[in-house]
Amino acid sequence: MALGNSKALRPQEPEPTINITSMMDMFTIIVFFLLFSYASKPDEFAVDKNVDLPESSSSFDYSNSVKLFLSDVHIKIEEDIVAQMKGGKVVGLNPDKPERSSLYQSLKQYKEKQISDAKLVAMETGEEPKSDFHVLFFCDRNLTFKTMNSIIKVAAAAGYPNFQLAVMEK
Amino acid sequence: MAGLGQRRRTGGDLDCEIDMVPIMNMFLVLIPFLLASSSFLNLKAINTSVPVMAETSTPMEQEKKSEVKITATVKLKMDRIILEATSSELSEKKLKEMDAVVKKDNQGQYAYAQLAVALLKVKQLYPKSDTLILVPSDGIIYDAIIKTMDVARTFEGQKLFPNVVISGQVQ
Repeated sequence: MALGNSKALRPQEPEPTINITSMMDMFTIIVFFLLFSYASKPDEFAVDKNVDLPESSSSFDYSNSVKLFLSDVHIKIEEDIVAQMKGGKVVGLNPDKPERSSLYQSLKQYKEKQISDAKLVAMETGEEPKSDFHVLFFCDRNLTFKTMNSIIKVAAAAGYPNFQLAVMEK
Repeated sequence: MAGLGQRRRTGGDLDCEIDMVPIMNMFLVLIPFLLASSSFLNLKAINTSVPVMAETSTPMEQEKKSEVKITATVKLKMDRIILEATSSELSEKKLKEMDAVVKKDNQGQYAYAQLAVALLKVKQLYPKSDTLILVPSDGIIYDAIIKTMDVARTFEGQKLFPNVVISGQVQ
């Protein structure tokens, strides 16, 4: 009780204020930095967690195309799983008859769609239709060339002889 | 101008403070959101292709050395890297002089620097050359392929062979 009385009798102190101007400046800089770094990036997409990309000194930006994710578990084209992998081999892929595989069929479908889209764009713009289509290849760093090569061959047979290999910038 | 200043001082305007707390609150929400949605890993790409059929060019021995184009072939084996040069414009003997074998070092790593030096030598002799065919063995991992491609493209800021073609071994 005595303590309460003494508190009440004490002369009133001015309410302390924190100067938040410097903090505001810092936050403004962070927000602008994040907004600009966010805007300068090309479209983002989720890389499969099974795919650990290798590092490279390449500074070339990828262009939007058919994305093929190759891990030791499965092969994904865009968002769809098109084939399963077992022991470094594509399940259901006969190297002598690649056109029968689901991987080939899917790539062929994408190619046809890209060609028809390019024709539509060409009709609108009056320019030559685009023909340099490629596959953006996301491959796990520990996969062997034998596995990669079997898929590269199928992609080339489906009309994609040019690739972009996705890597992480060093 | 001086009069205006004087008037202001004598006017006795109240010091007004903007309430920055709501702006702070907004920033505190924005920053975690932007941090969560931005990725700090930069994705890049390497352009490559598979070999395609092309018409062979006719030999032109009279062409200047600087105009001659050679195609470097790098065979990535499990224990070594073999560099070979091919060209329809040069003799077999001249091409053999550019061949090199780079063995793995004591730690079992490919000696990429040695490969780069050998490629640089070829590039200096025939600066018009820009294509390299990379032939990895079946067991070579993708990471080693990318490292070899990096070395083949540039070395110490110097452009070597920007067009890298990946090819499987001919059985």
